[in-house]
Amino acid sequence: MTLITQYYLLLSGILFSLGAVGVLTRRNAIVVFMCIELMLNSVNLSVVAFSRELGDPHGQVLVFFVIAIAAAEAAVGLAIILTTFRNFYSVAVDEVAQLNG
Amino acid sequence: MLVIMIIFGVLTLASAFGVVLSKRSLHSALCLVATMFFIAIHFALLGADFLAALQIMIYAGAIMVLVVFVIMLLGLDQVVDQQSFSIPRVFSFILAATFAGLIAYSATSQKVVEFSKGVVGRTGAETAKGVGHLLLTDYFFAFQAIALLLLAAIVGAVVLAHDKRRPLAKGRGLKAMHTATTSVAGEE
Repeated sequence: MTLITQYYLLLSGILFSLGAVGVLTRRNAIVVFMCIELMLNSVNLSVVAFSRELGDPHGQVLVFFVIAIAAAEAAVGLAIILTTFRNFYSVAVDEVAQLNG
Repeated sequence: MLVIMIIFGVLTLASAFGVVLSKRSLHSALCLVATMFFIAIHFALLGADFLAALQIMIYAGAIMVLVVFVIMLLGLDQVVDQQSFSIPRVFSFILAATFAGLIAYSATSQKVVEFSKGVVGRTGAETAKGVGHLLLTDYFFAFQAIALLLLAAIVGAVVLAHDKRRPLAKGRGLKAMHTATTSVAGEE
Protein backbone atom coordinates (compact mmCIF):
# COMPACT_ATOMS: atom_id res chain seq x y z
CA MET A 1 0.00 0.00 0.00
CA THR A 2 1.56 3.26 -1.05
CA LEU A 3 1.85 6.29 1.16
CA ILE A 4 -1.05 8.13 -0.46
CA THR A 5 -3.39 5.17 -0.03
CA GLN A 6 -2.31 4.88 3.60
CA TYR A 7 -3.03 8.56 4.11
CA TYR A 8 -6.49 8.29 2.55
CA LEU A 9 -7.31 5.20 4.58
CA LEU A 10 -6.34 7.10 7.72
CA LEU A 11 -8.43 10.13 6.71
CA SER A 12 -11.37 7.89 5.87
CA GLY A 13 -11.10 6.11 9.23
CA ILE A 14 -11.08 9.38 11.14
CA LEU A 15 -14.06 10.74 9.19
CA PHE A 16 -15.92 7.48 9.83
CA SER A 17 -15.22 7.69 13.57
CA LEU A 18 -16.40 11.31 13.64
CA GLY A 19 -19.61 10.28 11.91
CA ALA A 20 -20.06 7.43 14.39
CA VAL A 21 -19.62 9.82 17.33
CA GLY A 22 -22.23 12.09 15.78
CA VAL A 23 -24.72 9.26 15.30
CA LEU A 24 -24.28 8.06 18.88
CA THR A 25 -24.22 11.46 20.54
CA ARG A 26 -26.58 13.93 18.90
CA ARG A 27 -30.22 14.33 19.80
CA ASN A 28 -31.47 15.93 16.61
CA ALA A 29 -32.58 13.30 14.09
CA ILE A 30 -31.52 15.39 11.10
CA VAL A 31 -27.98 15.84 12.49
CA VAL A 32 -27.86 12.04 13.03
CA PHE A 33 -28.85 11.63 9.38
CA MET A 34 -26.11 14.03 8.28
CA CYS A 35 -23.52 12.09 10.27
CA ILE A 36 -24.63 8.90 8.49
CA GLU A 37 -23.99 10.69 5.19
CA LEU A 38 -20.54 11.64 6.50
CA MET A 39 -19.81 7.96 7.17
CA LEU A 40 -20.93 7.02 3.65
CA ASN A 41 -18.64 9.66 2.20
CA SER A 42 -15.66 8.40 4.19
CA VAL A 43 -16.16 4.91 2.77
CA ASN A 44 -16.45 6.35 -0.74
CA LEU A 45 -13.10 8.09 -0.20
CA SER A 46 -11.32 4.88 0.80
CA VAL A 47 -12.82 2.93 -2.14
CA VAL A 48 -11.61 5.59 -4.61
CA ALA A 49 -8.13 5.55 -3.03
CA PHE A 50 -7.87 1.79 -3.48
CA SER A 51 -9.33 2.01 -6.99
CA ARG A 52 -6.53 4.41 -7.92
CA GLU A 53 -3.81 2.20 -6.51
CA LEU A 54 -5.01 -1.03 -8.10
CA GLY A 55 -5.96 0.63 -11.39
CA ASP A 56 -9.42 -0.89 -11.15
CA PRO A 57 -12.29 1.32 -12.35
CA HIS A 58 -14.87 -1.06 -10.83
CA GLY A 59 -14.28 0.71 -7.50
CA GLN A 60 -15.58 3.93 -8.98
CA VAL A 61 -18.69 2.19 -10.29
CA LEU A 62 -19.28 1.01 -6.72
CA VAL A 63 -19.00 4.61 -5.50
CA PHE A 64 -21.49 5.67 -8.19
CA PHE A 65 -24.00 3.16 -6.86
CA VAL A 66 -23.35 4.19 -3.25
CA ILE A 67 -24.04 7.83 -4.16
CA ALA A 68 -27.27 6.87 -5.95
CA ILE A 69 -28.47 4.73 -3.05
CA ALA A 70 -27.59 7.51 -0.58
CA ALA A 71 -29.78 9.87 -2.62
CA ALA A 72 -32.73 7.47 -2.45
CA GLU A 73 -32.14 6.96 1.28
CA ALA A 74 -32.02 10.72 1.82
CA ALA A 75 -35.40 11.20 0.14
CA VAL A 76 -37.15 8.48 2.10
CA GLY A 77 -35.40 9.23 5.41
CA LEU A 78 -36.26 12.93 5.31
CA ALA A 79 -39.87 12.09 4.43
CA ILE A 80 -39.99 9.84 7.49
CA ILE A 81 -38.53 12.62 9.66
CA LEU A 82 -41.16 15.04 8.29
CA THR A 83 -44.00 12.64 9.08
CA THR A 84 -42.60 11.96 12.55
CA PHE A 85 -42.40 15.69 13.22
CA ARG A 86 -46.04 16.12 12.18
CA ASN A 87 -47.17 13.52 14.68
CA PHE A 88 -44.84 14.12 17.64
CA TYR A 89 -43.90 17.82 17.08
CA SER A 90 -40.30 16.93 17.92
CA VAL A 91 -37.29 15.52 16.07
CA ALA A 92 -35.32 14.62 19.20
CA VAL A 93 -34.43 10.94 18.99
CA ASP A 94 -34.99 10.33 22.67
CA GLU A 95 -38.43 11.92 22.76
CA VAL A 96 -39.94 9.85 19.95
CA ALA A 97 -40.15 6.80 22.19
CA GLN A 98 -43.75 5.59 22.04
CA LEU A 99 -42.82 2.09 20.93
CA ASN A 100 -40.62 1.58 24.02
CA GLY A 101 -41.71 -0.66 26.85
CA MET B 1 1.03 16.43 -4.40
CA LEU B 2 0.85 14.87 -0.98
CA VAL B 3 1.16 18.34 0.56
CA ILE B 4 -1.95 19.52 -1.30
CA MET B 5 -3.74 16.34 -0.22
CA ILE B 6 -2.77 16.94 3.41
CA ILE B 7 -3.92 20.57 3.32
CA PHE B 8 -7.33 19.62 1.94
CA GLY B 9 -7.45 16.69 4.35
CA VAL B 10 -7.05 19.02 7.31
CA LEU B 11 -9.81 21.23 5.90
CA THR B 12 -12.06 18.17 5.46
CA LEU B 13 -11.46 17.17 9.09
CA ALA B 14 -12.18 20.69 10.30
CA SER B 15 -15.54 20.83 8.50
CA ALA B 16 -16.38 17.29 9.67
CA PHE B 17 -15.79 18.42 13.27
CA GLY B 18 -18.16 21.28 12.49
CA VAL B 19 -20.84 18.82 11.38
CA VAL B 20 -20.64 16.76 14.54
CA LEU B 21 -20.13 19.49 17.13
CA SER B 22 -22.33 22.38 15.94
CA LYS B 23 -25.09 23.53 18.25
CA ARG B 24 -27.42 24.53 15.43
CA SER B 25 -28.50 22.00 12.81
CA LEU B 26 -28.23 24.56 10.00
CA HIS B 27 -24.54 25.07 10.84
CA SER B 28 -24.09 21.30 10.67
CA ALA B 29 -25.75 21.22 7.25
CA LEU B 30 -23.51 23.97 5.88
CA CYS B 31 -20.40 22.29 7.31
CA LEU B 32 -21.50 19.08 5.63
CA VAL B 33 -21.82 20.88 2.28
CA ALA B 34 -18.22 22.09 2.76
CA THR B 35 -17.14 18.53 3.63
CA MET B 36 -18.77 17.21 0.44
CA PHE B 37 -16.89 19.80 -1.60
CA PHE B 38 -13.57 18.87 0.00
CA ILE B 39 -14.21 15.18 -0.61
CA ALA B 40 -14.96 16.00 -4.25
CA ILE B 41 -11.56 17.72 -4.37
CA HIS B 42 -10.01 14.55 -2.94
CA PHE B 43 -11.73 12.52 -5.66
CA ALA B 44 -10.25 14.83 -8.29
CA LEU B 45 -6.80 14.54 -6.69
CA LEU B 46 -7.09 10.76 -6.84
CA GLY B 47 -7.89 10.89 -10.55
CA ALA B 48 -11.61 10.13 -10.35
CA ASP B 49 -12.87 13.18 -12.24
CA PHE B 50 -16.31 11.81 -13.16
CA LEU B 51 -16.94 10.94 -9.51
CA ALA B 52 -15.84 14.40 -8.37
CA ALA B 53 -18.43 15.99 -10.67
CA LEU B 54 -21.09 13.50 -9.52
CA GLN B 55 -20.30 14.15 -5.86
CA ILE B 56 -20.84 17.90 -6.29
CA MET B 57 -23.94 17.52 -8.44
CA ILE B 58 -25.76 14.86 -6.44
CA TYR B 59 -24.47 15.10 -2.88
CA ALA B 60 -23.74 18.79 -2.41
CA GLY B 61 -26.26 19.95 -4.98
CA ALA B 62 -29.30 17.78 -4.38
CA ILE B 63 -29.12 15.83 -1.13
CA MET B 64 -27.85 18.70 1.02
CA VAL B 65 -30.38 21.09 -0.54
CA LEU B 66 -33.09 18.62 0.47
CA VAL B 67 -31.71 18.48 4.02
CA VAL B 68 -31.63 22.27 4.28
CA PHE B 69 -35.23 22.39 2.95
CA VAL B 70 -36.37 20.02 5.67
CA ILE B 71 -34.50 21.92 8.40
CA MET B 72 -36.08 25.21 7.37
CA LEU B 73 -39.52 23.62 6.86
CA LEU B 74 -39.57 22.22 10.37
CA GLY B 75 -38.27 25.47 11.83
CA LEU B 76 -35.24 23.75 13.34
CA ASP B 77 -32.90 26.60 12.52
CA GLN B 78 -34.07 28.32 15.71
CA VAL B 79 -33.49 25.31 17.96
CA VAL B 80 -30.19 25.23 19.86
CA ASP B 81 -28.91 21.82 20.95
CA GLN B 82 -27.66 21.75 24.50
CA GLN B 83 -24.34 19.95 24.63
CA SER B 84 -23.28 18.36 27.88
CA PHE B 85 -20.57 15.97 29.03
CA SER B 86 -22.56 12.91 29.99
CA ILE B 87 -21.30 9.38 30.44
CA PRO B 88 -22.64 8.01 27.10
CA ARG B 89 -21.07 10.93 25.28
CA VAL B 90 -17.63 10.32 26.80
CA PHE B 91 -17.98 6.60 26.11
CA SER B 92 -18.81 7.19 22.45
CA PHE B 93 -15.77 9.48 22.10
CA ILE B 94 -13.52 6.77 23.58
CA LEU B 95 -15.06 4.15 21.30
CA ALA B 96 -14.58 6.29 18.21
CA ALA B 97 -10.99 7.13 19.19
CA THR B 98 -10.26 3.41 19.60
CA PHE B 99 -11.72 2.68 16.20
CA ALA B 100 -9.75 5.47 14.56
CA GLY B 101 -6.60 4.23 16.28
CA LEU B 102 -7.16 0.70 14.97
CA ILE B 103 -7.62 2.02 11.45
CA ALA B 104 -4.48 4.14 11.79
CA TYR B 105 -2.49 1.13 13.00
CA SER B 106 -3.71 -1.13 10.20
CA ALA B 107 -3.10 1.54 7.58
CA THR B 108 0.52 2.07 8.54
CA SER B 109 1.69 -1.30 9.90
CA GLN B 110 4.58 -2.96 8.11
CA LYS B 111 2.78 -6.20 7.20
CA VAL B 112 0.08 -4.31 5.29
CA VAL B 113 2.55 -2.01 3.56
CA GLU B 114 4.27 -4.99 1.97
CA PHE B 115 1.07 -5.77 0.05
CA SER B 116 2.12 -3.29 -2.59
CA LYS B 117 1.74 -3.78 -6.29
CA GLY B 118 2.73 -0.29 -7.25
CA VAL B 119 0.40 2.42 -8.37
CA VAL B 120 -1.34 2.02 -11.69
CA GLY B 121 -2.93 5.45 -11.59
CA ARG B 122 -5.13 6.50 -14.45
CA THR B 123 -6.23 3.74 -16.78
CA GLY B 124 -8.41 5.93 -18.96
CA ALA B 125 -11.49 4.34 -17.47
CA GLU B 126 -12.13 6.99 -14.82
CA THR B 127 -13.76 9.41 -17.21
CA ALA B 128 -17.49 9.55 -17.85
CA LYS B 129 -16.87 7.43 -20.95
CA GLY B 130 -15.07 4.74 -18.99
CA VAL B 131 -17.49 4.52 -16.09
CA GLY B 132 -20.45 4.75 -18.46
CA HIS B 133 -19.09 1.86 -20.50
CA LEU B 134 -18.80 -0.27 -17.36
CA LEU B 135 -22.28 0.72 -16.22
CA LEU B 136 -23.85 -0.32 -19.50
CA THR B 137 -21.98 -3.61 -19.89
CA ASP B 138 -20.84 -5.24 -16.65
CA TYR B 139 -23.27 -3.54 -14.29
CA PHE B 140 -26.29 -3.20 -16.53
CA PHE B 141 -28.66 -5.06 -14.23
CA ALA B 142 -27.56 -3.03 -11.23
CA PHE B 143 -28.01 0.16 -13.27
CA GLN B 144 -31.61 -0.71 -14.10
CA ALA B 145 -32.23 -1.76 -10.51
CA ILE B 146 -30.92 1.59 -9.26
CA ALA B 147 -33.33 3.40 -11.58
CA LEU B 148 -36.20 1.35 -10.16
CA LEU B 149 -34.98 2.04 -6.63
CA LEU B 150 -34.93 5.79 -7.24
CA LEU B 151 -38.47 5.64 -8.64
CA ALA B 152 -39.66 3.71 -5.59
CA ALA B 153 -37.90 6.17 -3.28
CA ILE B 154 -39.52 9.17 -4.99
CA VAL B 155 -42.98 7.65 -4.83
CA GLY B 156 -42.46 6.64 -1.22
CA ALA B 157 -41.20 10.08 -0.23
CA VAL B 158 -44.14 11.84 -1.88
CA VAL B 159 -46.64 9.49 -0.24
CA LEU B 160 -45.00 9.86 3.19
CA ALA B 161 -44.60 13.61 3.07
CA HIS B 162 -48.06 14.40 1.70
CA ASP B 163 -50.02 16.43 4.20
CA LYS B 164 -53.45 14.79 4.38
CA ARG B 165 -54.98 17.77 6.12
CA ARG B 166 -54.81 19.81 2.96
CA PRO B 167 -56.70 18.47 -0.12
CA LEU B 168 -54.91 18.84 -3.44
CA ALA B 169 -57.82 19.83 -5.69
CA LYS B 170 -61.56 19.45 -5.48
CA GLY B 171 -62.77 16.97 -8.07
CA ARG B 172 -60.57 15.09 -10.46
CA GLY B 173 -59.04 15.63 -13.80
CA LEU B 174 -57.21 18.31 -15.69
CA LYS B 175 -60.01 20.90 -15.43
CA ALA B 176 -60.02 20.77 -11.62
CA MET B 177 -56.24 21.14 -11.51
CA HIS B 178 -56.40 24.05 -13.96
CA THR B 179 -59.07 25.80 -11.88
CA ALA B 180 -57.09 25.26 -8.67
CA THR B 181 -53.85 26.71 -10.06
CA THR B 182 -55.42 29.70 -11.81
CA SER B 183 -57.45 30.66 -8.75
CA VAL B 184 -54.24 30.77 -6.69
CA ALA B 185 -52.53 32.83 -9.41
CA GLY B 186 -55.54 35.14 -9.53
CA GLU B 187 -55.22 35.92 -5.82
CA GLU B 188 -51.68 37.13 -6.28
